[in-house]
Amino acid sequence: MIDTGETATALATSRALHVRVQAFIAAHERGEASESFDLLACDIARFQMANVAPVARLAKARGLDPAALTRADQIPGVPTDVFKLARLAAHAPALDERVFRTSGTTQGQGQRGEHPVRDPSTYSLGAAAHGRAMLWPDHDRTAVRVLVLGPRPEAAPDSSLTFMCDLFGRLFSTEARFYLEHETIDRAALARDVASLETPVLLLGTSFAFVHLLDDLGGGRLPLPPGSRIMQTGGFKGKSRVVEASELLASMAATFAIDEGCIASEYGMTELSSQCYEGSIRAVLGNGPTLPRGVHVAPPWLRVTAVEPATLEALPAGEIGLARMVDLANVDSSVTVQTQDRIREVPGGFELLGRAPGAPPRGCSLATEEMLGRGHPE
Amino acid sequence: MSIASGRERVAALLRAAARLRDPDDALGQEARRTLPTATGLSDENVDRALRHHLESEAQENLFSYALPDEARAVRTHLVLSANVFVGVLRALCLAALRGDTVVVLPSRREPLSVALLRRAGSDLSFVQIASRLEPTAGDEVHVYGRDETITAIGATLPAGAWLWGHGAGLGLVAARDGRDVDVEALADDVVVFDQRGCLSPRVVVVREGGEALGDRLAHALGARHTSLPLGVITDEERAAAARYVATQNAVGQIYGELGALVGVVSEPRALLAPAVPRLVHVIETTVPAALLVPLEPAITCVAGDDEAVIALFPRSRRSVVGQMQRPPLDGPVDLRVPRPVPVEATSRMTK
Repeated sequence: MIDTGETATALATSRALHVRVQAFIAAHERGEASESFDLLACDIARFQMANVAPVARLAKARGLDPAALTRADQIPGVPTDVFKLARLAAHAPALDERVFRTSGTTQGQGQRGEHPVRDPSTYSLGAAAHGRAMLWPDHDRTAVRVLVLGPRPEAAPDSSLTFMCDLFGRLFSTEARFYLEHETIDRAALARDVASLETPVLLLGTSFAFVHLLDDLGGGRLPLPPGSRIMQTGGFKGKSRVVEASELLASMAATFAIDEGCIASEYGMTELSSQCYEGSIRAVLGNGPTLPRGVHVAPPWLRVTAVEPATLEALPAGEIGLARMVDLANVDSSVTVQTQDRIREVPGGFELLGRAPGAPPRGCSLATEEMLGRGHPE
Repeated sequence: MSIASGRERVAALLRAAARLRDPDDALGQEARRTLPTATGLSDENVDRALRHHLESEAQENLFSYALPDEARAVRTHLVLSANVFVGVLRALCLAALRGDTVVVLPSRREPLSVALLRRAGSDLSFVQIASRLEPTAGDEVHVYGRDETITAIGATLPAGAWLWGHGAGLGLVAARDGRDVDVEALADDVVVFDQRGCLSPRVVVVREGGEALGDRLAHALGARHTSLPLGVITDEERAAAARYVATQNAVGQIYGELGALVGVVSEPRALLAPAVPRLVHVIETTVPAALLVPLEPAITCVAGDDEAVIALFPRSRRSVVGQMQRPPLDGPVDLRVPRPVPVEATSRMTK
């Protein structure tokens, strides 16, 4: 963390890095050349090794010389657990513009991961750019209205997903409309709004929210205007009902009267500032290749590679391992995050294969994780 | 011919166990030959467990678990999981005190230990091995396993039956100063059964001296590699260890290596102690309550000299470092659910 004596220098460095990352994002959005990903990632890592205590400790434990970094894959990945255990920020809490938190567990707030954000503008720029590319590539000719099966921002100020949905609402249409109040979806309001709209809808929600809505509709239909599309995210951890992805996809397409190709899954984590999407909507609209379901596309400012779980060493492309994320938009926390999600790199993206189960306790022993629950993606 | 008295049934079980304990007995030799493969523990760990952790003597307190009216014929069903293999003896003793017939459903993954014990006894006809659980009203069902297993089985039992759940858990040591902890004794508690028991210490809480404890404990654990080698480690356990090491590198200290790992963290915001064999997580904190209270339902056994912390775990078995894995045969190891409960009240099983 930056202390008083070093605040000005560190803040200046942070701001300069944000400027570079935003330029990187903007260049890619315009289809122009950007500076080197590795160079920028290494500069961010050096800044964090000097100013973020857990990152500094991890680098020191690995015997890493920050000055010698030349490639992003040399930067040690900070496990997502660290976001639960310590503050990961290059700035003092007073400078937090946002603190995003992982979902709560039954055992209380203490087990939630925290991602402090000093400058959300880089997050916003990246989220909007990749969201536009993957969900609304026809933005130059089609207007959309953003509807969210989630809580209003003021009801979930620490949810990065809600922050992103609100952002999409403000950037892609005049505002987003939110339909989750007190853990209940206001189906009547949603139906009324959908019926009154003539412009295509971008309907956003968690998989579980969609299941809840479909159950509530009891087989009834809620046709969306032509050209509409859906983004669903997240799994079912801690929920009472789990639905197969293919079954949910078919139900959603039938209920909302849209092509399955107009539904894309998002993969995001509180610990990251960038998101990945299935390429289905982009492909249907003729803006990208057709990729198999489950294959997610990262933006150019997020590099996703698979590592061997027992060594955390990089695996050759095509082998299954744990996802290691180098996210340039994580300027003030940890540019490299080691997740527990299993992936396989494939042409065009990476195949998401679910959460690694962890080590199941043998005998009658118990892991504290099992007792206390785990944080999980948005 | 059935044995009328619970006390006599326990004595018969202890006689059978003595044969397994004896390395010169044919069944003791067979146990040493077959249990390492069945359990994944090293030969030396199996031998240590049979010699020193398989109980030889019942405490008088054990008999307080006998049914008040022993003349009443009661059938006890015993559902075993792949627990620490010597735990089968205690489970059978408790079941034998509650019923004159004990119907055992062995663990599918580790059916060997109960079969060996059964064969070792010449007068264990009251123990029947079964493949299905078919209790009737009035029967008792003792279930060993994870909470979900106990709840699921409880939901299938007929009204009028009784359920006694013995869940999973872990051991905790609370010491005021880590420098005062007897690391040799603690290491002994950790290495036996490769920490698979619900009494195995996995978390140590100290007010100060955490790093000194971590360093010494890792050395003590490492020194046991020769005398008591580590058993099989799964790929998932290796991955969990790698993740733990990386996490500890970022937030605290790590001592030792796989098979003798100790992580030390000061004033953490959360608790993280994965189920990796021979891994101890040391927390140094001056305000332990907030961190530890959520863990209370999981703690089976506590030891140490920090009475203020130990008082946070009133339902846990109290022990001393070095003896955590050798509780006297005085009742169930897991005291969190002290007696069988009627099936109608299974909601009370929720810890």
